Amino acid sequence: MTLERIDCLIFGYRRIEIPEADLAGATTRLLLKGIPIIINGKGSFTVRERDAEAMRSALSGVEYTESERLGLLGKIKSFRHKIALALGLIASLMIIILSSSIVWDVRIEGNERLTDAAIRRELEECGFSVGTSWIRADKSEIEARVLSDSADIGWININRRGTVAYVKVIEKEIIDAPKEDAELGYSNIVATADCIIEEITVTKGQAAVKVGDVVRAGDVLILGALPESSGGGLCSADGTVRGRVSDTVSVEVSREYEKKINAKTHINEIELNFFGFDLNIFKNYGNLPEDCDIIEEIRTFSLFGRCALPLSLSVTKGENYEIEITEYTDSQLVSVALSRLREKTHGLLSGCDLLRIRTDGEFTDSGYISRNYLTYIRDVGVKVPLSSE
Amino acid sequence: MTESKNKPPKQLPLGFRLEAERSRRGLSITVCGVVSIVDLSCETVILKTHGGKISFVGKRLSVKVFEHSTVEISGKVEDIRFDFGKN
Repeated sequence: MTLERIDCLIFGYRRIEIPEADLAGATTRLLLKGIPIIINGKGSFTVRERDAEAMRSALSGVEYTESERLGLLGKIKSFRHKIALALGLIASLMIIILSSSIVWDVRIEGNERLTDAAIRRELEECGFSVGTSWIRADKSEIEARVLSDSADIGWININRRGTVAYVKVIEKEIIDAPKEDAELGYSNIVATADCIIEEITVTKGQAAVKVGDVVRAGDVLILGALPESSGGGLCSADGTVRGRVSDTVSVEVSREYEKKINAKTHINEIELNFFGFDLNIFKNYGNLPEDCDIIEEIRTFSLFGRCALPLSLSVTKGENYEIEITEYTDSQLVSVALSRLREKTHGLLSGCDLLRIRTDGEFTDSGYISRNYLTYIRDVGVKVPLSSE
Repeated sequence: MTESKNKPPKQLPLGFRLEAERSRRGLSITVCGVVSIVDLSCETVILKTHGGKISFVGKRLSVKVFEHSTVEISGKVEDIRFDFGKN
């Protein structure tokens, strides 16, 4: 039954006012004529616009008041003399639709070496720039063209968000070509440290040592000479030689050290970044003292921790400090020494297989020495060109 | 040949059809075979059908007239009375 009302609203209806005493008789007439009506209340009913003429003939002789045409079409018809308004509405609707189908901004993300302008130029050459129609732009084709035409872009993706194009790129990596052994036309692989050979793999040349041999730094491990069976001659030796190396790492820490004591903190500058625009709120002009640490804190904001807002606050502070000479206690001294020793050892053992480690330390007049005695396996070969001598 | 004078009397439709269902406003009653609407108000609706008079009494009654002698009454219908055979 709701459809009846929707029908009236869309196609129009009229409201009829009739004396209450005549309502029953009038509705009977309409009933017998098969004219649908909706009785609204005392002395009032609604008839569809398309039944209005039939209603008028059915109610001839009855006094009633008929309203103007109501509903959507009625409203539209009332604007029939206001053509300019209708045209204006249509024109503005078209402008909104057309303007949202055009690229208004191109934002580049992911570039490190290439500038935004360079990427935009590449896109423009492939037919995509500000002003391009989204409907006509075939994003896949443009991406493929950029990849084939550009020597610097390894991957590209164009995303549309509203009227803004977000272009994500990954640049091609530049890998330096390995230096040819031009000056090492022929080379040997020699040991970099005293060690015991644990593993030797020869890909070119001839092995000069075997597993278990004790070698000294500088000894030839792989000879840059081809075997007789392969025709003989010189070559650039290639292969991997791993040896067991014993090494000692030590760290000395002085008992006295300089301690920074923050005397005073003052705010130098406060800047608000809003949608990429920097707004300077506060700045303290003047020279900063020399013994002053400058710390910049950048605070970003998000919505419920999920959506980052285009808003950040940057506060630059100057912290004046004073230098105070102080001493470590014995336990602090050992702790600092071990910490530094751990760092140094970690750097040394990167890429190696540690077999054994022994740590010791001793207090000295000025501080503390800590040592690590290491036994580990690592690559011990390095290419050395054959000299003409 | 002369036409037969004794035509069978025109058959008049007998009775009426009434359907009721619960609705948001209370009850929605559709009556088919309505001849005329005798009385119409928010508290009382009296219809005359081929089978007799039907009176609906209640509160906030609203009436819709449809084609084919169909009338729908909706609202808080409290009493329905049939007066068979009375015109």
